[in-house]
Amino acid sequence: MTDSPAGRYPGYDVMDKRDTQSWDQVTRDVIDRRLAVPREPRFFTSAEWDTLGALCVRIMPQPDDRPPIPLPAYVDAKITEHHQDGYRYATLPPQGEAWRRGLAALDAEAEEVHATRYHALDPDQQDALIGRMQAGELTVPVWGGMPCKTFFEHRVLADITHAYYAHPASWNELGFGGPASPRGYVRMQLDRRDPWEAAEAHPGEEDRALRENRHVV
Amino acid sequence: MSSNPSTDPLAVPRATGGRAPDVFKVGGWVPMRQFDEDEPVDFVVIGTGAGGGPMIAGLAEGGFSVVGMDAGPWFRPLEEFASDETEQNKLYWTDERVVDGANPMVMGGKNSGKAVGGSTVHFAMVSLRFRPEWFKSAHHAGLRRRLAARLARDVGLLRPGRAGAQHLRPDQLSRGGPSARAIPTARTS
Repeated sequence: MTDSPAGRYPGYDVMDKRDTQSWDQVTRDVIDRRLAVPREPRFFTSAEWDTLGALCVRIMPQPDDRPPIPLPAYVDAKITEHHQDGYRYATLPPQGEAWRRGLAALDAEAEEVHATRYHALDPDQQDALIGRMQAGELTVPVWGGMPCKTFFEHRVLADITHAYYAHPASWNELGFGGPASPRGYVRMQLDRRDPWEAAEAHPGEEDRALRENRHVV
Repeated sequence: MSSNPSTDPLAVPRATGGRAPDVFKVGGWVPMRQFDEDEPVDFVVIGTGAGGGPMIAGLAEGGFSVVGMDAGPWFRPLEEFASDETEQNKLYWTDERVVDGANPMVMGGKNSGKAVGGSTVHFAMVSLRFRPEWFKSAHHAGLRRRLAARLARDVGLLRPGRAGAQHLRPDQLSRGGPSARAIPTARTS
């Protein structure tokens, strides 16, 4: 992260609202379940888990001043718990099969170019393969007719970024208020915020934002 | 989502025993007319969303016996909804549908619903701008009575309250339905 999120909404933590009037019980249950997602793979094999973990780190780099959002666990949960998209491109197999094949293909591509598996590459080599996947240039037989560009756009990008921004830690970075019900938005005018929304630190006013965010619940 | 499987509307139908959830009251119920499975009814409407819901209400208010069917659960929004985007996926029709072609259609999410009430359950801030001709549908279609009564007459049904099954078979519908009788319709989209 080039722009320190902690600096932009200093002192803000959406989880501070958990036990206040900002959240009701159903909201607590929903977010508690999300935070308690099993960290071990249920769908993926341990080899696939290595590759997926490495891919997530490159797609959504995370700051080291907080525990990482467990992105591979969410991708696994989406498949294991049958959370589907509602549609599937004809060129992509069902999501679990698409992920298996795509991860195996990334390993095969890494083996072909660097004689090692994807997660063992250095970050620049990993990014280069991602770039070629995005451009539709990867062609080892393991892809089995699945277009790598479509896999990148509709599985890799979609599943990993959706998982990232469903987690409260990402809401803190964005200054997002989190679940709005039962309180709701009241101050809808430009440059206004409700008491439960994060205060943004404008240049020179970081201390004020920090003070205000201590009371945002 | 209910943690108790016996009350989870995704697992077992909730509107049974002649009553349906009152979505405006925690734990509340409203009476619901119910029919035995072998009991003839005037209409069966598939889907209870923005199209089927008003149709069911109009037919029932017109005195017809009508059964509405929906693939999704009957939620209690006050008790079961969190205003969280990922959680709200449970409101959508996310069964797999294969899309193809030069410009594949994106489905699922906010343009669908799988619940009693269909997509009207989540609204999702979709607000269609009414077209001028929509306000003239009745005029263009020549409808002078409530839609329910006119529809029933045009497809050859008898008066409300009489079992339609013996008067109307599917082949009669296609042979004698509104389109076959050149009834004018108004463009609505």
